[in-house]
Amino acid sequence: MVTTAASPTRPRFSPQWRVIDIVVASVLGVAGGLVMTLWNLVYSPVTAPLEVALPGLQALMYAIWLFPAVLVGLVVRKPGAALYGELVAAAVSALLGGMWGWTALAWGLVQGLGAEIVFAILLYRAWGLLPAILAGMGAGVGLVIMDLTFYYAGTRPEFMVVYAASAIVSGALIAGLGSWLLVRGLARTGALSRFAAGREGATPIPAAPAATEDARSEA
Amino acid sequence: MTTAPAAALGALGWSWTPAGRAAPVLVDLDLAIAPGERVLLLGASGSGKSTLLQAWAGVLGGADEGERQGALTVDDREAGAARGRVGLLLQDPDAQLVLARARDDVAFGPENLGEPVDEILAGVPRALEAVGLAALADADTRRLSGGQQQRLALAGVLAMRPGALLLDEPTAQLDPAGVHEVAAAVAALVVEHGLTLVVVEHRVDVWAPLVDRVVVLEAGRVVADGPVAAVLGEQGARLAQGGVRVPGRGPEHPPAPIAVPGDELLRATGLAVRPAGGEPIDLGLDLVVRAGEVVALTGANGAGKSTLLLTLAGLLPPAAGSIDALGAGEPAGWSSAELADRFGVVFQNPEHQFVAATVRDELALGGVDDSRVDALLDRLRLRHLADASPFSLSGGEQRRLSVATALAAAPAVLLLDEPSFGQDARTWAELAALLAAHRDAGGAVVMATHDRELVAALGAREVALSALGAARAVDRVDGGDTPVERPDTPGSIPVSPNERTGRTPLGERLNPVAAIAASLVPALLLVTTLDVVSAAVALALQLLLIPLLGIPIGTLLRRTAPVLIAAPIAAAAVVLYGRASGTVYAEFLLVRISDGSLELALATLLRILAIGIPAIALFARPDATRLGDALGQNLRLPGRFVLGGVAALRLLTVLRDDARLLERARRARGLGDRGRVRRALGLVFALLVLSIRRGSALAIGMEARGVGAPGPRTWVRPSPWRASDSVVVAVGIAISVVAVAAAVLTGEFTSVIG
Repeated sequence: MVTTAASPTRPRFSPQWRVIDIVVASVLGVAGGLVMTLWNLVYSPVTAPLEVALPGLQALMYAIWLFPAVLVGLVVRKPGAALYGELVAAAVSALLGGMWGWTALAWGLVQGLGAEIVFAILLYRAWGLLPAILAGMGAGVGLVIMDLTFYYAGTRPEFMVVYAASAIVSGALIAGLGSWLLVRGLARTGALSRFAAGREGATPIPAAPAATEDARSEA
Repeated sequence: MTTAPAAALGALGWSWTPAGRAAPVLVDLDLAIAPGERVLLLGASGSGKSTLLQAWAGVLGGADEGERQGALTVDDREAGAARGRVGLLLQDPDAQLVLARARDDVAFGPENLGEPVDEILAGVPRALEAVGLAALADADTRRLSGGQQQRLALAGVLAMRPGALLLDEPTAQLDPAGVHEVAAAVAALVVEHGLTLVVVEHRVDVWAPLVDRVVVLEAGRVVADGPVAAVLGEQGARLAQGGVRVPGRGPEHPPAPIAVPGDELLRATGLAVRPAGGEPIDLGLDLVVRAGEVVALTGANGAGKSTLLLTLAGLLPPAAGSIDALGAGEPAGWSSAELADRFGVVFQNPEHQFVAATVRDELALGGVDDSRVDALLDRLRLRHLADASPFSLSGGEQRRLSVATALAAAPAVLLLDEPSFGQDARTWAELAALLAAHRDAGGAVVMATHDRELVAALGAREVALSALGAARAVDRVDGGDTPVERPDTPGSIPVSPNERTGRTPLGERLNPVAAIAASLVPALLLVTTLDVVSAAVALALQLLLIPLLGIPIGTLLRRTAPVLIAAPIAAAAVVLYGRASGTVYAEFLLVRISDGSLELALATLLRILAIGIPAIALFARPDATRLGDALGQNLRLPGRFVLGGVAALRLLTVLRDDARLLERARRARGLGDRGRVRRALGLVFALLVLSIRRGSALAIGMEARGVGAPGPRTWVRPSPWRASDSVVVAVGIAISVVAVAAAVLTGEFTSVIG
């Protein structure tokens, strides 16, 4: 060989969005919007038992509205990715007919910012489990701010405390841990091979043992 | 049409190492392609062919995607600096078409390059004409056949007036008629305009007549380069071994059947089939499948081959008639576990049927014992990939694995949908051998296929379906299955309402930005109020005005159903837990139903309806293209992001078909009996993987068509803001004002603020 690199090339971090970043972020955002739309239909009966057990506890499952922020942030790793993912998802849920109409955009904005601020504080350098959980909690704070201001302004203080705690725990578990696991699973499939998130999480695929074997598929 | 002068392509000591790889994919490459030269680029999978095309097209990515050395040029400039000079056509039509209407999609590239509107509008019909699609300018791109979609993608490339065409396996996913269509279109263009052509394909016979030079790549280096006959003569054996279909060196065929067909395994009587969501096709088919035989279902697209196969496989119920298999009755009535035990089903796209995290788990599914899994891994040369994700395999490996999973449970009948589609010669030969072995071991094979060679190689009994739906059994091969013209007439998208002002209802004529604003203004106000009066007044006014939008009542009810269902459920929660005041009617633990909570609940109900209904009514027929045009032009959002969103929305429409296929595949794999939640989670994950893969391919296609090019973008379709748009927004504001005024005047106004 003429040139032999001893180790895999180390990619440089660039804040610039590539076309593939935009398209995949959009695809994940749209998929997230679809999940939101389905969740809009069933969330009320699904969370009713929690609500009966302790009012406010229903928010324990509300982070299903938050995961696109963390998921897109973790995959794309660019400034604005978490916010963009959540906004696209919210817009799609409005387009497909959500009960909150285009006000979903306002929620998407604040929730997306919640996650985005966490990634920004970490200087867009940390993408592990803990940052994912913190970003999920950030999005949860966004949801709490919006819901308690606009939907539950008239409720009792103890309800507000339970609601806020539940939403933030939910953000940590469903949006944070959940997205992190999802990205790990996606990375294993090789679908994220053009993203740093996919190259780190993927187990290297062994080369074929004999010369007659199939070479790896092309990039 | 006017074309640019042919481009020269060059590589000088060029190497490329993708991020995350230890070794370069292309090594110290020296290659010069003169203007107007036509080159066939050959090489085994993984030799770097596609990478080289992408590099010349300037879409390999920047420094964070890999390291490059040496020089790669288009004319005398660095590749990528001359956007639009080279046009790239990819394999998957789904990965290249961005917009819903054919002519909009053709304009997409020139728009990104910022060409003047007049030139683009003049160029689009010429590009469509050049590929023979002039009559389908308004067609819905999703409803075109594969060959038509590829020709449309070619028109999109041509509209950018490139000096060179780079084709990356442009016919790998097409049936024989589609292959012919695309190859003929390319030949006509190249010959007429003298364009430089580089084509990557493993079907040499299709392209050899058109090219004047063959370059062979192996492990990222050029190993042969010269005139077609000389290179094929010298390298033929080696190329054939690497999977290239070299004329005169066809893939090895398995031995002929050793036994006469035995016991009856499957019988269909008077069968009619119905594709999911389609009209029934009355085949009137009587078919008996016996042990030790191969049955090939053939016929043109739309004749119902795949539908028939899925019906025989118990994955679609028959529209009429009956099927009896293995003396166990109708397969459609079997449980998923029974089905997986008795039938092995192989889908056209292997990725649709993978359900496990590793290759080993994929084979072990349904309790196949370890020794059999090991034996299969060895037989299919997949041992070294046992712990890899099935999705990470190459195309040929995925095909082998999908057949292996179908064989794992030792089913009596193997049913396959286009098993040889897009496979190179090597995988083709392996596949034929596997099927022949299953046949000779006393199993039966039923396959839907276009592949005449496979039909012959397996000594298959052919059942030819005519396009009209009538079936006739033709004994043995060489039956009269003449290629029939495509019966499908693609639907057209009605001409944009913008261009038919005055005749379309107001609801469809509105600027999407106006629609958003008009529903958002009252909604933002309503979420800050808690009283009944403001919500009630707003809702009443909206319900009075919505008929002016001219949306059919049925459409409106269907689209608002989610809101109509969700609103009372949300209100019920407020009845139970809302802040109590006034008389308390019932109290239980934390539940307190009171005057206060009842009033809050009523306000909640009205508020949700007043927010949700107009948002949908103003967007009764969402159109991604128009929405994108409005966001880009009226709101001036960044073009790249708007286009990314539009492209992703288009993929959303593909998702429904994917979901259906995945459901079926999961039933065939024996997972259909699992609980809803588990099934749903598995399905969502598989859908995400498929979507990301499509998105990644689409990103390459979009970048090749100028997305992200420097300079301002042209928006060829105007997104006018009319007086009616201003009026609708003003009405939205007026509704808000009146609603609040009514509440204040009646003394009922309550806001969340304060």
